Amino acid sequence: MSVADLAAIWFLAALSWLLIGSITPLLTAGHQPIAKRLAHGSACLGGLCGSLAAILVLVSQTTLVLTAWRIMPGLVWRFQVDALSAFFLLVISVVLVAVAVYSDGYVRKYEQKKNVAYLGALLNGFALSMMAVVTVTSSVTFLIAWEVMSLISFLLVMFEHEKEQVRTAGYIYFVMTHIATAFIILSFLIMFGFTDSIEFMVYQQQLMQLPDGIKNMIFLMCLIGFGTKAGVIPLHIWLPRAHPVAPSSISALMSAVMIKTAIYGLMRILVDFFGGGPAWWGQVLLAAGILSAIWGILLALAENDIKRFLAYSSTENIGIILAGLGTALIFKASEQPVMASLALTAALFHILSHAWFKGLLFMGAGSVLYATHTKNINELGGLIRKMPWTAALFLVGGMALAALPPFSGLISEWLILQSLLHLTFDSSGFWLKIAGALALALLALTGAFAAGGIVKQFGTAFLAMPRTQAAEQATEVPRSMRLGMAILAILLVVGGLWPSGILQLTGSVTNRYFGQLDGTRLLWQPVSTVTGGAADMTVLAGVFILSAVLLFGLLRWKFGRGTVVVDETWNCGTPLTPSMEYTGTSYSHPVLMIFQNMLGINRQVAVEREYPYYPKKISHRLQVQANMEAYLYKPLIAAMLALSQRIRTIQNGNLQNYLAYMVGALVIALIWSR
Amino acid sequence: MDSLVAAGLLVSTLLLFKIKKMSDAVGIIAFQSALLALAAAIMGIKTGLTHLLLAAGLTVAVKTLMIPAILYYTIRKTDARQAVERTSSPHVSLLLATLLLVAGYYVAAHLELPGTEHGQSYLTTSIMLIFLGTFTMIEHKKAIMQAIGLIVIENGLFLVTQSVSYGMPLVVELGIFFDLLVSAAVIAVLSFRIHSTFDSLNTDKMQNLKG
Repeated sequence: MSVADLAAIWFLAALSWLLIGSITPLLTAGHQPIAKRLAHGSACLGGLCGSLAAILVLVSQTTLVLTAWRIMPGLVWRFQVDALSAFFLLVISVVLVAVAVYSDGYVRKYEQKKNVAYLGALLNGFALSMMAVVTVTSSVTFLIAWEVMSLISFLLVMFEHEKEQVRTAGYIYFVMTHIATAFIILSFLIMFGFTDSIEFMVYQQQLMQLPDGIKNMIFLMCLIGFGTKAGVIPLHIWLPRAHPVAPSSISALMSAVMIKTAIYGLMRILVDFFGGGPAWWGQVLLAAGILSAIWGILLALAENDIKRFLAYSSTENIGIILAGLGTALIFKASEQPVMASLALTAALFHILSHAWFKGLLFMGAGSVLYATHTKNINELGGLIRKMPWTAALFLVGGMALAALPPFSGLISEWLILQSLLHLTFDSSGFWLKIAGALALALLALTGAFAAGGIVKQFGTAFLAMPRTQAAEQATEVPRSMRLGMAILAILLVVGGLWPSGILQLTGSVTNRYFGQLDGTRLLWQPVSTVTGGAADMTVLAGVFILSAVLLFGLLRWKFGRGTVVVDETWNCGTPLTPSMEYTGTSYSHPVLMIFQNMLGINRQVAVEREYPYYPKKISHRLQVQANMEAYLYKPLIAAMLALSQRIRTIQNGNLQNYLAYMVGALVIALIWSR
Repeated sequence: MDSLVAAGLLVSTLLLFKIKKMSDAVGIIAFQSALLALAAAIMGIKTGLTHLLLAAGLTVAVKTLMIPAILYYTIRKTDARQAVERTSSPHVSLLLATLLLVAGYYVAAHLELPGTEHGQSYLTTSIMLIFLGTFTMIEHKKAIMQAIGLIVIENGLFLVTQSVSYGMPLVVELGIFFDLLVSAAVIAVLSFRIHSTFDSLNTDKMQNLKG
């Protein structure tokens, strides 16, 4: 049996498990414990089989083709797992395993309130539709899978529909995701119009010969369509609303995986069909990516709600991924395939590590929510003593998000920065170099803010003293939830310590589209020069470690062993109370003030005085007004409503009027046709 | 004979715009349907197609007896005054109906359809009936009159099928009759509901239900 056959069997097994998992819980909905086990068991097994299949395909560099269902003549449901599909299949499957394990504990939150059988069945259906999105082979089947994915995720977002806030978020998500789908359908229709085929295989061969204007049109449609789904600023407005209100296990899947399917769509069309396209496509992607990254993280920094912080951070990370993809396209357009390979590797690596750490962090936020029933960090504090496991795992995810060693977040961000460095030094054109440098600086700034944001979230929620009773009475979450988080935490460490393993997986994707990546550019030369005279990394590292050891020894010899005294925090003699703690709002205040014109910040300070210099109480509120929404969406919505009012005069709901239209149309048609 | 039937159909339809009581409209419908059955029977004898005769029998049963009975019952039960309500005055509506007649004649005269050797005289009439039926629905405000208009439209369609293509397959014919019967019943039921909710059969009142 060849490797391809083996992979096909595992892939089929994955699909079958997920199908079983989406049906059987519904049949046993009356017995919730059984339904719960069935749903999460099949999801976990489906994820495991899917990961195995994906790894087999990536390592052996084969392509699976499975014909599933002849819907009608000319429309066949076929699965094809090539390198690109397999990579995304891996992203989905791995996170699915962790989420399935985690959910088993997390759904206890809904006991007595909701029927978790439906949640479990939808979870399986959601995973199945995502797997279908990244493996189908024609535009029609892609759109079917895409739409099913959107609808199931909408249902999942609306799981706690009795809350007003959830319904609003669900509605906005529903509208935005369908705007996205409309643009994607348009782009596929244009492709169909010019090739007269719905098969991706035909697109791969024929789309390159399209006229430039049409290509550009397809690119812009795809950018808007997939950009909305990915949550690229300024199309992100659904993301910080929908992700926080969904059940945490689902937020983890949506944020870690679902928005990546949009990146898959972009890569499939731009890289696979169009082979990269002109340079300005890459430049647009790079600009959109950098804008998303910096703006997303600034908005994230302002958030005191853990899950909203994580959602904005997803916007930021999608921006980083897009920047990588854009850089790859720029290099491809200027005939530098190896550099393009490096940039694409960076984007793919970041997709993987973002999926892992964002999944982990959302599950961590879910654990906090599970234990304390609040997501507002200003009502938490001191959780590290009550929930040491959750705190440690959350910290691992947070450090990966902040791109700190030894986690895979560092490697992927480093690769992105490195490809931008190459853009600065090795690209042709003065302005492109300037743009590269600017992007690099902004991305570095983003990294700093990300670190600041995670310090704020972790510090306020987990350190110091509990601010409320809920935080005081928190207990450690069930074992299955900890296990689910631990799976991803371990992967983050593995990715950080053994990046060459991951690079082997991304390599089979980049080899196919751009070319072999040699190790020299990747790791040994942080900044390559034209003459290739950069220093060897091992020598650099050796010198660094040696000098550090020497310095330490010198200091020790000169000053001797230092003394550490552990004592209570000095507080002028009064007892320590939680109200003395630094809050999340005050932590991000200085940074937000710098950017207040950009973000539109509303700050209210109310002082209750008894004596002029000794106020009784000072309350301080910071609110980000999100200028983006005020200046971009409000006028759009207002224009839409005005237009609808105009149409309302024709479409007025009066029966007699409609009949009159009919008669008029009939008379005109009959006169016309004679 | 054909022209006489056609003229009877047209005049009876035009009368719909002059009536003052709704129960008159029901009588007009019954009369019109009877004429239609006669036309179908004549056509059946001319062409020797037996299913046209069957259709004629069904028309008598359904359109001249059952549906008028249902509508009459509804009117008796719901509206004591029985007065019709129009959007414009009877004279204006009659004028508009005449204009529609002219338009229908103009349109039909230029239609070239195959197989019209027996039915050319009916084709014009049927198009006029369709126009006038729709105009009845536009002009009148009461829910029952919508049903009357619908039946006039259906009569026009029936006339066009049996004159141009000598009727439709019997299964289709049966389906249409059943549809019509059900829709008359539904309109009757709805009229009861509308009457109990708004204490009137005026469809204008239902504008308030819009969101």
